[in-house]
Amino acid sequence: MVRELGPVLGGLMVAGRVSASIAAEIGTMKVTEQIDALTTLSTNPMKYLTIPRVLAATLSLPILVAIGDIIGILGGYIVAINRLGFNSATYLNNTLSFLESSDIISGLVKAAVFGFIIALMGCYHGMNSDRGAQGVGKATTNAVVSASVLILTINYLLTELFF
Amino acid sequence: MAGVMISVKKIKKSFNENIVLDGISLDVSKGESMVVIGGSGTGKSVLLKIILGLVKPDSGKISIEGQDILNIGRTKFLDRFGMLFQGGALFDSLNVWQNIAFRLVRGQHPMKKSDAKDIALQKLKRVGLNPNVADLFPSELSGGMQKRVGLARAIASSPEIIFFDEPTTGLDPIMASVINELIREIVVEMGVTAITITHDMTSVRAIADRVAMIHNGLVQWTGPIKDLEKSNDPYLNQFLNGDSNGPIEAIR
Repeated sequence: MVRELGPVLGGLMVAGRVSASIAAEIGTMKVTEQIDALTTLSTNPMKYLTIPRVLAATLSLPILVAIGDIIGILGGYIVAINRLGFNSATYLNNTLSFLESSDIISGLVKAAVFGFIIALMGCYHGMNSDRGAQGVGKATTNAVVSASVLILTINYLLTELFF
Repeated sequence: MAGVMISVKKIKKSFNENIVLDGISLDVSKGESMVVIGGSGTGKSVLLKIILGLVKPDSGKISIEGQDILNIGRTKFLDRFGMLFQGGALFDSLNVWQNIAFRLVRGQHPMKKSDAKDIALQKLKRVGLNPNVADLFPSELSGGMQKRVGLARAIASSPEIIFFDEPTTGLDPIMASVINELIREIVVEMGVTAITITHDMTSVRAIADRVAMIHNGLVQWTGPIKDLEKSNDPYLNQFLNGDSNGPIEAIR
């Protein structure tokens, strides 16, 4: 839960929501010449649009995943006690003894990396969106797909790296 | 008319197989209002974007007051420009005064928000909008108001050069002539060098000191506005009269 499921499921969920919305927003800005307008107003669109989004996602996904971990373990606890008839104290003891701090930390590091990827993919595909509503739609799809695929691939690589 | 402000030399640009600009050259003098006309898809917008550095030309040279733009720092160069985009291109996450004051707050010499807002309100008044518009968002404005806000943003930092990309497209005739008059007044009172691209002949007559017509990626005709009607150029005459028959093919 803490090591794999939390960050990956959280990442995929947020990839669907956030990278799509970032790609759609930036793509529309590109189509309506707002990106060009930023440049002509001496502002680097990369700095102004990309960096805050990437930072925000990198910082907030670990928080979301931490909440997800707690809810996940709580859910397991409720099912185990009520449906499977486990003893409450034994369940908690076992859970805590199996849980290592390295699991939690690696999960949160993964979440940060995924957050970074999600926002980056949203921005990248938005910035490179084609003209027109169709272009924005395509950019949005591409952002979600590439963010999801990257999350799954990098999850494997990070797990290899950590353990 | 002292000296050449913007000089475009032999710019070529093609997208895939499609040649848009085929070695175009154009000089604009300081303080002059140049209007570039030409049919849709003849590369007028691309030319402006190339001058602004938003699009890279395949070959050719652009200089501002004799200096190659590649040698001037990019931000320093852009600080001298204002641009009114075709669709306004207002930032829809910011309200009207924040749009106008964007460069004042975020530029090379950021000023205090309250000062910037004062200037924004002045510029808003200059383009004939009520100060209570300042806190609205661009999506709440009509097309004509968006154009005016775009204009206010373009002049907010008192640039030396302003580009207008089809300023009257999508406006009713009355609003179009209001915008034309505004542009003319602003160009005269600020003494800026202006390049306007349009295919609206009313705009041309209202704004231009000089006119250049682009056809087939080249300047087909250029001259002062008073010579416009007298010219014998068949391309220009076809464009002025809006004939579907003539040397310019109607199918593009």
